[in-house]
Amino acid sequence: MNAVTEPRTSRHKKAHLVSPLSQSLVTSAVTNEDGEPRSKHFTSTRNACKLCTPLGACLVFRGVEGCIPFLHGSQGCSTYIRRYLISHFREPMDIASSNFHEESAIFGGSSNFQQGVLNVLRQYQPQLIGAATTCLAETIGEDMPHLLHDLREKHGDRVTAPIVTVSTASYRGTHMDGFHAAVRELVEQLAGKSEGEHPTSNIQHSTPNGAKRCVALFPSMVSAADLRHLKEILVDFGLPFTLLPDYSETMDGATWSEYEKLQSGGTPIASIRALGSAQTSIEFGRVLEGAETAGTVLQNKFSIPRRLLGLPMGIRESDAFSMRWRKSPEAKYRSNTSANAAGSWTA
Amino acid sequence: MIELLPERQPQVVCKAAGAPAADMACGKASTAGSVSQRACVFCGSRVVLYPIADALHIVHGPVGCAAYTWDIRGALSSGPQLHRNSFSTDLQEMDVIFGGEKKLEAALLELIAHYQPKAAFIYSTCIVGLIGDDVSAVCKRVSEKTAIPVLGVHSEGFKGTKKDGYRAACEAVYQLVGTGDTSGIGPHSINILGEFNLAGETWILRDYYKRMGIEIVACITGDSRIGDIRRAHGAKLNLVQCSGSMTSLAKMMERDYGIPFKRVSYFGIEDMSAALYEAAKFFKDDSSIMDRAQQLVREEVAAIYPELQRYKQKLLGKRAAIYVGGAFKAFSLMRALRLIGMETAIVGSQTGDKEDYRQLQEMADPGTIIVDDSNPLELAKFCLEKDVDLFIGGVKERPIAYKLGIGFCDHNHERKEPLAGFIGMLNFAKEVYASVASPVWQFAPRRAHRGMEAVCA
Repeated sequence: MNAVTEPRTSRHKKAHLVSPLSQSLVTSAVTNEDGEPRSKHFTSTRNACKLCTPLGACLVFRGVEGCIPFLHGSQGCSTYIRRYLISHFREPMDIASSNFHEESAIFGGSSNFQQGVLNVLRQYQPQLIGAATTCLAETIGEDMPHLLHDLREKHGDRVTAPIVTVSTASYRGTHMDGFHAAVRELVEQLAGKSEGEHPTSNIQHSTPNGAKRCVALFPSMVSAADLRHLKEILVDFGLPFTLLPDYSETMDGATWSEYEKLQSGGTPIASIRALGSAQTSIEFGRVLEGAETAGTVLQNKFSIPRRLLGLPMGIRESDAFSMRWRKSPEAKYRSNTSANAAGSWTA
Repeated sequence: MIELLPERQPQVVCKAAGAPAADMACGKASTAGSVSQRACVFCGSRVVLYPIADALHIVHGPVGCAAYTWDIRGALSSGPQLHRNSFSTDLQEMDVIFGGEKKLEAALLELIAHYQPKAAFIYSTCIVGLIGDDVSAVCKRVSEKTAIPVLGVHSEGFKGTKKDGYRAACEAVYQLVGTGDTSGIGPHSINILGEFNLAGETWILRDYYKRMGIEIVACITGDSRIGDIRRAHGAKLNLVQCSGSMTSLAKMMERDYGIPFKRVSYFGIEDMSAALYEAAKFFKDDSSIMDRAQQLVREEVAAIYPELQRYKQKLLGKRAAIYVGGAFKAFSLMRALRLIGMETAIVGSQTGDKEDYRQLQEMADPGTIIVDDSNPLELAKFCLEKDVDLFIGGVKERPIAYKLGIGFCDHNHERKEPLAGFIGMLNFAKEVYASVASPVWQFAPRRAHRGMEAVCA
């Protein structure tokens, strides 16, 4: 390995190949209590390229059909995340807020939450509300299940859409954690077992084998273009699938002939509900090893085998991804060998 | 069809012909669930103070608050660029439980030692207000250790609206005023408050005042330095441009140092000229200042007027929607639009007060919608009802306009073209024309059936 990667330079020259940055990291290396070396530790963050947990959750919720993200906390949180995502995607991004003020911070945000939810239902007529918490709500100890219970008790007849909650305190993790948590909670709170065919997966395929059990694909935080490409690949393989989330249309659309309160597209809620009878789940992101994810929820609740793969970037990981599909007995492009190997999805 | 929420109706008025200006509901907390375009207290403080280029700005809170306000305005500096960094204490769960004071102090000492700033601002976020960190005590300790002013900005997000954040910022920056040496400041000297040097606008204004023979002591906070702010109390007059954000500072300076202030605006020919004359009138003792101001206005207007007329011919009768942060900017924009032949069909702001809305109603043509603290659905509804050709707003409004095939002009802090001053008026007309008359709209489904001949000819 070394022989391949080492540049053909003299030992004397090699010293210059170390960049000033890595040099400074080397010289400032210190050890922690366990004696492990680490780079110089800063107390403050400087130009940190990470965002806060609710941002990831909001993006996931806009990848679900007819879902509006709702933040339980200060007005600023929703406006900042909107501004950030609008700048990035160049798409409208409406995120409601329970808009805490000082009294809510002291006495709790229950009434704000109720008013907020009812207003959102009235204005947007969403199919789903994705309620994520913020630092403020988490720290004062807002109990989301309790808030939901109160809301249903008081205004049950007016709560016309399901509400999925996710705990996303900004001081616990980054936007990626918020993203995965939201996908997990969607599956945890919506998925159930359903019988027979899946009329609800993203794309319908008539295959000779008749009824198909769909494959759940959790693609992690990738671009709208990546999502579109993944869908193309899945269609080519001829398998019914549910891609969650899918913001390829909601966050990358064209101009409108009429105003769309919530952009069309996204994973249908019925598909998420039917995930309990998926044949297998695939999750991208090797960092999710050991984490509680949508895949592990399906595994634990419904005994659905979970496959954790790297993002299909580069030849090796892309091959790994396509090999998974080829193993499926229902895939269009399986090779003879894998067909003979009675390949079903096994964990 | 989009409906207004019942709670929101008192904050919307449609100007009726001949009717007296009505009192509008405003200045209250946003309705929960209304998807307000407003931000929070912290945002107000952060955007006002951040252009101070040689100060360290550190966000005491979780990383999100820091990331979303990282270099949030296009505020340019002619020297140090320290303000364009994003520093934060990135509070973690354990800090929230055990308190973040030690972390803040360590972060400040480390950053001040490394960057050698002239002062440091610490912005408190929601979470800091809740866990009760004594930021003032940390400021005091660090200030003693480092011998620079370390100023806490009490900007906990839930403590009100963006306007309260402006006040918190003014209170923090006011601690600096009066601590510098005012010797050498001439008799014809001013401060400009509420001008943030977006796209270099401060430099345009500095040039105008210089040509009039007026000295600018401090521009707060566009391209400003801590040293300028410390001696700002030596100026004879304060001109307040973004009145929503900086009037409280001007009032404090008037109270303690007897410096009078005038509200001005630098957008549009009329307001820009008035702002220059305002200063010239104040310095009555030297009539040559007024002469030079008149000369300057003549030259500048002559340079842009013919081109403006060309745009006016193309834009005549086109309708615009305005939704901005502060109402004072909306006044200027309405006048500027009139100058290029356009009508204002919708005008609104995030933080206007009763008096602002009264004045907007007086200025507006019959049928104009005036709105406080609006949201995307309402704005879309009004745009469709009034069938506007142009939307003037910020980042959050842009996709509403584009999705509906409406032209757009960014008049928020992220603009890249200077829109202040006389040259700014020309830039504004150019930008409006380029967007309104763009042939691309004929391909937008909603407007596809309309002929573009009128503007493209």
